[in-house]
Amino acid sequence: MSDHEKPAPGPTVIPFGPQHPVLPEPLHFDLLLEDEKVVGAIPQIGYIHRGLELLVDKRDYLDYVHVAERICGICSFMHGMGYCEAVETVLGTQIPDRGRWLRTFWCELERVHSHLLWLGLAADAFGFENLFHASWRARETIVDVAEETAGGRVIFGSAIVGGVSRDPDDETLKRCMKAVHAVRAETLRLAEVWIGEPTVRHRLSGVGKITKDQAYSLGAVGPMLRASGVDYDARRRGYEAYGEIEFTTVVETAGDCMARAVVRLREIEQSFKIMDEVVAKMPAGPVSVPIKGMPPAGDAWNRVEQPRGEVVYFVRSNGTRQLERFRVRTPTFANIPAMVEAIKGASLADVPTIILTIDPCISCTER
Amino acid sequence: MAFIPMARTAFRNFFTKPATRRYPYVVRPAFSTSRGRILNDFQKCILCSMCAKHCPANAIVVDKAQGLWRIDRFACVICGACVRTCPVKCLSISNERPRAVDFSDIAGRSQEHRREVAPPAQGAAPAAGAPSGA
Amino acid sequence: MTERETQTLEEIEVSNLVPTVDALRVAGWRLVQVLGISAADHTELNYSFGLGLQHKILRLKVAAGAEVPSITDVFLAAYLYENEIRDLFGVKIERIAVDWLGKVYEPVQGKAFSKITVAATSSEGGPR
Repeated sequence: MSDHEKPAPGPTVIPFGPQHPVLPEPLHFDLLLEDEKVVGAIPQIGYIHRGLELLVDKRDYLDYVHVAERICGICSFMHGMGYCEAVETVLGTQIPDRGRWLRTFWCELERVHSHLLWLGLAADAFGFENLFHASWRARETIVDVAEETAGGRVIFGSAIVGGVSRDPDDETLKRCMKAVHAVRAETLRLAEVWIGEPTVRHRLSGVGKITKDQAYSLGAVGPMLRASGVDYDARRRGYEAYGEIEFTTVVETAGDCMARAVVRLREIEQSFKIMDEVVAKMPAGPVSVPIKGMPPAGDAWNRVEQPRGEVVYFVRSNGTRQLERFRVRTPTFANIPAMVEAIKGASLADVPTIILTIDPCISCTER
Repeated sequence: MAFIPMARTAFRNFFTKPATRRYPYVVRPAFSTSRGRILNDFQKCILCSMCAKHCPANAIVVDKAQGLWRIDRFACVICGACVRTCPVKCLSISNERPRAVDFSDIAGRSQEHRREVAPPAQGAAPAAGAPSGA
Repeated sequence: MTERETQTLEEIEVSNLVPTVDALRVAGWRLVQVLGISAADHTELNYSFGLGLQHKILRLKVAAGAEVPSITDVFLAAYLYENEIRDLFGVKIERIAVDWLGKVYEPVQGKAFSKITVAATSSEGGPR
C-alpha cells in the first residue's frame, strides 16, 4: 500500500497551454499558485519555431520578402515592408512617393485589422462572445478592403523590394474609404461597450498592472509600454510617409488591462484619421523601381511600429544574391518578461486576460 | 445604463439578415485584384525555368528536355514572384480561386503543360536530361 | 535610418560588456534586442539599446568556445535573448537569470544557426 505523504510545502504548479481555448497560438506557462493567487510564472516558448531566419541564405534576396511576409498572418505586411526597407537601405535606393504612401495606407489598414482582431480575442478571453463576434464582423469589411486594394485578405502580398506590387487607383481607394467609415461608426459603438459596460470594467480594471518603471526596464514595447505612461512610438521615426503626417502618440497612465484596451481603441480611431489623410494626399506616379543585380555588402537596421509594438529588423549582405543574415526582433518577444511580471499577484481566472493583453503573436516570436 | 449598446445590437440582430453567406449556394464574386491562381500562357513559354528558380515555395517544376511545365497548386502561395521574373511575360495571376475539390486527388493538385520536343539532331551530343528547378 | 533618429555603433570587448551596459542603464537607455550573427570562426553579438529615438549598438566578437557574461543582472529582460543565442549559436553565456538549460527550441540538430566549422573549434565540432 502506498503511504500517504503530505504534499510538499510551497506553491502549487498548474500548467497553462500550449493548448488553451483563449490562446491563438501555442505558449506554455507553469503557473505557481498559492490558493487562487499566482505568485510566479515560468514561460516556455518553442512550439512553433520554423527557422525562417535560416532560409535567408537559400533564397534570392528579392524573393525572400514572400517568406518574411509569412512569419505571421496578422503582422504580415509590416514584416514584408520592414524587410524591404532594410534591403532598400543596403541598396541605397529610394522608392517613388506613391509607393511610400501606399505602404503607409496598408500599414494603417493592417493596424486596424489587427486591433479589431485583438478586441475580439480579448473579449473571448473574458467570456464576452457577443462582443467577439461583433468585432470580427467589423473586421470583415477591413479584410475585404485589403483584398480589393492589395489582393489578399490577411497576407497582402503587396510589399516588394523597390516599392509595392499593386497600384490601386484613387477611385478604388475612395470607395474603400467609404466602407472603412462604416467600420469606424461600428467601432465607436463597440468602444462604448468596452469602456462603459460595468462587467467589462470589472474584468479589466486594476488587473495586470505594471508601473512605468517596470515596463521601461523590462523592455516592453507597443501598447504595453504606452499604457503605462511611456511616450514611445516607432512611427515617430518618420519612415515611409509618417514624416509627413500629423499624429500624436496614444498614451494612457493606468498601466492595467483596461488602459491597454483603451490604447488600442484610441489607436484604431487614430488609424482611421491617418488613412483619411493618406488617401487625400496620395500623390500620383509610379509605385516601384526595378531592382537588378547584386546588392552591395553592408548592414542595415530598421525599426517599424507594428500593431503589437516596435519591431527591429537587421539585414546583412555579403555582396551575393543571397543575404547572409536577417533578423526580426518581434514585439511579443520583448513583451514576455513584462507579461510575466504582470501575471504575478493576479488570480488564476485573470491569467488568460493578462496573457491576451500583450496581444501575443507567438508565430512572430519564434519565427 | 451601459448595457444598452450590446442589448440594442442583440435586438437588432433579430431583424437584420445574417452576417454570413450561405456558401456554397451563395458565392461572393472575387475582386478583380484577388490573388487566385497562377496561369501560364503556354504558347509563349520558352521553358527557361526562371520561374522555378525564383519560386519561394518550390512549387514549379520545369523540364526543358521533356517540354514540361508543372505547378503544384497546393504548394503555391500566389506570391507573384514567378510573374515578375518571367522574361516573356507568359505567367499571370488570375482571380479565380481554386476550390477544395481541386485538391481532392494528386492529379487535381497540379497543373501541367506539355509540348512535343524534337529529338536531338544526329551526331549532336545528347542533351543533359536532368530536370531543372526544384 | 531616417533623419529623426541617430544610430551609433561601438565595438567592445567581452571584459567591458557588463560595465558598459550598466552605464547605459543608469543613463536611462532601455534594452532593445540582442542579435547573433555567425561566421566561420567566431560569433558576433550585437546588443541594441534605445533612448527616445536614438539607437546604440554594441558589437562584440566572440571567438569559438569563448565565454560571455550575462547581462541579466543589469537588464532582466535579456534572458530570453541570451537563452536563444546559446541554443541556436552555441555561444557559452554564463549565469543567465532565468535559464532554460538548452530547451528553448529543442532543435533536432543543435546549434542550427552556427556556421563555425570543425576546424575552428578544438574539442567540439559545430556541424551546420
